Amino acid sequence: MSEMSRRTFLWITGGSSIALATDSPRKLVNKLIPKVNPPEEISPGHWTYYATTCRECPAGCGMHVANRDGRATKAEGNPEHPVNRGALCPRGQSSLQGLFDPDRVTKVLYRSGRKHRQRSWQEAFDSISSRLAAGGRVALLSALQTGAPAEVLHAFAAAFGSDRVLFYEPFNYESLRAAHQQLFGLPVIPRYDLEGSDFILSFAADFLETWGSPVRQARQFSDGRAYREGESPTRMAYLGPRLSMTAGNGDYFVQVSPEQLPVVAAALLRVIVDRGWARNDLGVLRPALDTLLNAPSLPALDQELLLTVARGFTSARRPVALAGPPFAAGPTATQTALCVALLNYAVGAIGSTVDFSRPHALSGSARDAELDLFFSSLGAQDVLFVLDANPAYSRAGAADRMARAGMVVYLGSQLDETAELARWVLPTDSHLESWGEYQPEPGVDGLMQPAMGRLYDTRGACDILIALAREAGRPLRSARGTTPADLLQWLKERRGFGGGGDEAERGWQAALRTGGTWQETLPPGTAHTPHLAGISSQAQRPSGPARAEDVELWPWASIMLYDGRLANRGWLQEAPDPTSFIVWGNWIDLHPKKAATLGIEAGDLVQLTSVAGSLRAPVRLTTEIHERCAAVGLGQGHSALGQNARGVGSNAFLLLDAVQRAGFFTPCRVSRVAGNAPRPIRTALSNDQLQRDLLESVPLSVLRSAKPQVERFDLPLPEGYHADRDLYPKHEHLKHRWAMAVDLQRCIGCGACAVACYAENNVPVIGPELVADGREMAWLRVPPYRVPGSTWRYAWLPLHCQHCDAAPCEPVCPVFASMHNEEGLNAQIYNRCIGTRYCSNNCPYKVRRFNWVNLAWRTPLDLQLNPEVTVRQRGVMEKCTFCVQRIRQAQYRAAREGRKLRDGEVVPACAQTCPAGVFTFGDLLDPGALVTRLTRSDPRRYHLLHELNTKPAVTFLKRVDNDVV
Amino acid sequence: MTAAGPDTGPEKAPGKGGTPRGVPLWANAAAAGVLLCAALAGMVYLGRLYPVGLGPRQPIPFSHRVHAGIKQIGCFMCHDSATRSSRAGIPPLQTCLLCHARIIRTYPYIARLRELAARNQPVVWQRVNWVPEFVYFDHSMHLRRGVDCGHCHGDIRQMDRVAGAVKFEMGFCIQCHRDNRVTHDCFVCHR
Repeated sequence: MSEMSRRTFLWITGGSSIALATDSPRKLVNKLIPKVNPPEEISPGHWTYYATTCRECPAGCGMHVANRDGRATKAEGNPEHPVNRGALCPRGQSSLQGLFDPDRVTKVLYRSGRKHRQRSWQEAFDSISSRLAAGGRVALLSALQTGAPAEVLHAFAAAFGSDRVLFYEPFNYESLRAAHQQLFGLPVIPRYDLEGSDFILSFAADFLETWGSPVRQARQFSDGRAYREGESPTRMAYLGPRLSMTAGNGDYFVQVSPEQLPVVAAALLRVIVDRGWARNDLGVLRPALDTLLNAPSLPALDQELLLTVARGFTSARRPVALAGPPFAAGPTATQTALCVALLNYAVGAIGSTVDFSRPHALSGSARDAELDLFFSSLGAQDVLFVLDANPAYSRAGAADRMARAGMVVYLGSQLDETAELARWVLPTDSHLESWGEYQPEPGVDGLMQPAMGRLYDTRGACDILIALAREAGRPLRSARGTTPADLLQWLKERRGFGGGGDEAERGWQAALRTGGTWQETLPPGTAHTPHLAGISSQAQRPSGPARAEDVELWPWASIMLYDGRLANRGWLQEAPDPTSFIVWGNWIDLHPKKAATLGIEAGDLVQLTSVAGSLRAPVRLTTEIHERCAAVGLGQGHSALGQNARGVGSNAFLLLDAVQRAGFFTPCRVSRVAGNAPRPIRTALSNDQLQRDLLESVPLSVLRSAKPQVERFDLPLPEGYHADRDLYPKHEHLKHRWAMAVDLQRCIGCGACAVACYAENNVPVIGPELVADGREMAWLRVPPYRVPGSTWRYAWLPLHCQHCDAAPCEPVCPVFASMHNEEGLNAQIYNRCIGTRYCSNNCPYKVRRFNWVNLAWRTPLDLQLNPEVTVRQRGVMEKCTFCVQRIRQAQYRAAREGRKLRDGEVVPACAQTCPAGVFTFGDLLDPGALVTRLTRSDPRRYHLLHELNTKPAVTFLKRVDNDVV
Repeated sequence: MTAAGPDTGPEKAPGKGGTPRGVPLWANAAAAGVLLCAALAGMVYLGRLYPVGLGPRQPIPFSHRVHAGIKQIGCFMCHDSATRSSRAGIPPLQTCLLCHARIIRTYPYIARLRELAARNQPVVWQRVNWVPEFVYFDHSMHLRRGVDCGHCHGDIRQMDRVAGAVKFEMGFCIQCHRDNRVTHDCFVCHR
């Protein structure tokens, strides 16, 4: 031993400990389990698609859920569905994480004290039905349901002599419905049709994010905005206190505090009436408008801008005005909605773009007064059933009221704040495991079917109620007089497929295959005439902030989390907010001037106090918020729900109680608490382009003048190489050269592509700490950049691997793990990669991601993994592959069918889900391909950082600045 | 050399444990010879029988030799998804019962099979041929190009239990791709 040197000793011990520590266990499943009786349509190695309806928000988009070997792996839009036409938003993409949520309720739970104990279904049924038999009164609160599930709920309440059934949605469009009630006698949310609309006027309605039917509206808006020769693009004006993603997409942005929104709307209305631009006579309104506008607290408005907006709105062919936000209530909000409805009437939009004959299903959700009555009526005799709703989180004071009920039975899949209050927690199927139906609007009748078998011992919520009623001796009777045994039978009977004959079964199967039934062509809407006589307005009292610390609270709904029900999904928590690019958490937006008067600095922890409650969050100083407001995002700050949601951010719903009674929006006090708040985590550090011209744009007039552009553009093909500039040899592609065109004019920044990429490519969610260290794994990001020359407009740059032909990453890899393949893809071969990270250092686009740690998928999230994509391990570089697995599948399918690949047959996950149609993917060697036409001859084409001569396969199409109008 | 002991040969102590009387030495030698030959013959025979080893024990001793060899049932009769999918597929129990619902119904293992099918329980087979998780092999594409199943799976007609005939290492794949002048693109198998 004495001969061993210190150096050798260290060498051996160090080497062996590294070898031991880095040995990662190989996962080898060496069991083969065939089916006993295989269903005919399922074959191993292929996906089976089930058509269903997305229930992540009330928009009701059609979905295809891919099932592989008995597990659902991917959700995609149903291309035939009239609402979304094949696209999905980030929330819809994440529905699989709801199904495979590790924090789902898996057992029947009974709460005694604060502890939940496991019980059997029979015990639960016995206990609840004996309580009902002993005179318990039924009260039912459910998330929005229509069709058969709604019938079941009503029948259940009726069977126990009750009519207390309410559909609880935190976003219930209270103000819109109140205004329409007053004006048209119809307390409904009409169908807003943005198809072909050439001027959209949005009063704080984030119609590309959470307001209305976001996927459909995003598609219609993008189609209108897209550059087409000879047609002028849709224009949009946004009036509101905060620059949201929707606002950032607008042509005009007028920053107005919420209190002054109705005044501005009225001012707009008066301009239109005064100038005689109205298509319907509104002269009756003049006195009411005058009293409103003669108030002393009239905001200083840019009259010229107001005039431009009014002119654009009235001269448009199909104008539409939208009033938001979806949770607004109170007199000021109602007055805004009233003015907006009058604006719509003034330009003749009622009946064309605003259709009252097809009200949205949300018109059936509970209104605030009904909810107040419901909650205050709860007493010791009541058995309160809560289905999939979470009022304890999203309605201040509801938790205390619910505690007064004799027994609370929660039927849902998450152990959320309401479930924690409940005596019984009955686990229900996820939306992807159960039968059901949902009609977002008349004429669209979506069916839901299980996309996979049950994961746990759960039951359908309606099936539980049907069984419970049977147990209690009062079987539920449908409107047709039958007593169906379960929801499936109920559904079939309701749709006339109940006979059980061959004909009925065939019809049922056909309906399941399409995902429901719908009218393809809609009858024209009916024009309603408003009752103008009764409209009066009180002049607003000047209620400007009396003290410096008074602000108006502006809560806003995040595109990722909606009303907070999705907060436990890692994909959505890690998906950046479209404008601030903050992940995992929320923050308070404050205007720098306001902050300066209060002595608040960036990075401070700030407290907001309203009558209802208070919250603390880090502050972000930005001019994107009105000086008199403080904005905070909804949906975070859960005290239950699951590991990803708990303790992230703070709950803005708790400040909202006073809003729903008093006004638009809560007066609130802001104060500084501490100096070192936890910093919001951002994955894009600056939204300034720093003169790099990443996001190019071209004025519409230049495009119209058809001047030939002489810009250098090197195709990612052999012809793009020039002997004087290129050092590396050209690549010959024999069969294909995959390429993509990204139309920046269409992109609205929603980030659905990024979430779809997580789902498709097994991209891990790594959590806030690692993201804060800069270890985020997203293959595709959509960072927002300020449009040069504008102080508020945003443009988004979807950025993933550019698959360069002269790729900087390739020559630096010592082991050829990063290499050019035969079809032009820049391949990353994981099993070859040794983790030098040279490629990432040399990549000018910064799209490569390194696995710093081995990440485990919490069971059962691993069941969602795409079996066609390798799960990467620590020490390996990864990046976008243009969804090579989809390319291979399409190629193999074509080969098996003995034909050539068709253009448009290969669709990467990002392109598939994009509501705006930003991405075009195809083969550059195919002269007829759309991508070839765009890459070779589109006047707007450019390459990102083209001066580096990387010859990317991704061609961006410039944004178009509408300077023509 | 220190190992030489005093008792080194049986003939030096015949009374203790030498050859029993009555059996001549040549007979012993002949018996040993016969045994040796039999062992050798057995090894040769078994070697022909199981040229690539015996393979792991399966829950039901299904014999490919009987089905594919003697009865000459084609591969695609049972592994029917091989021509249209990436996976060849392990036949469902239903496929076994296509025949065994009528023939050889009482043989214990087949009775067990029928019982499992009746209970809707699958048979859990031991996997023999596998490639690592970062390799994506497509059966249908190789069959389209006319690659014989036996090229990778060996002569399955000779195997009672299936054994891995070929070690699936990258060299084996690449050699064949090289010989047939087909793609060398990494992204075909790795993704």
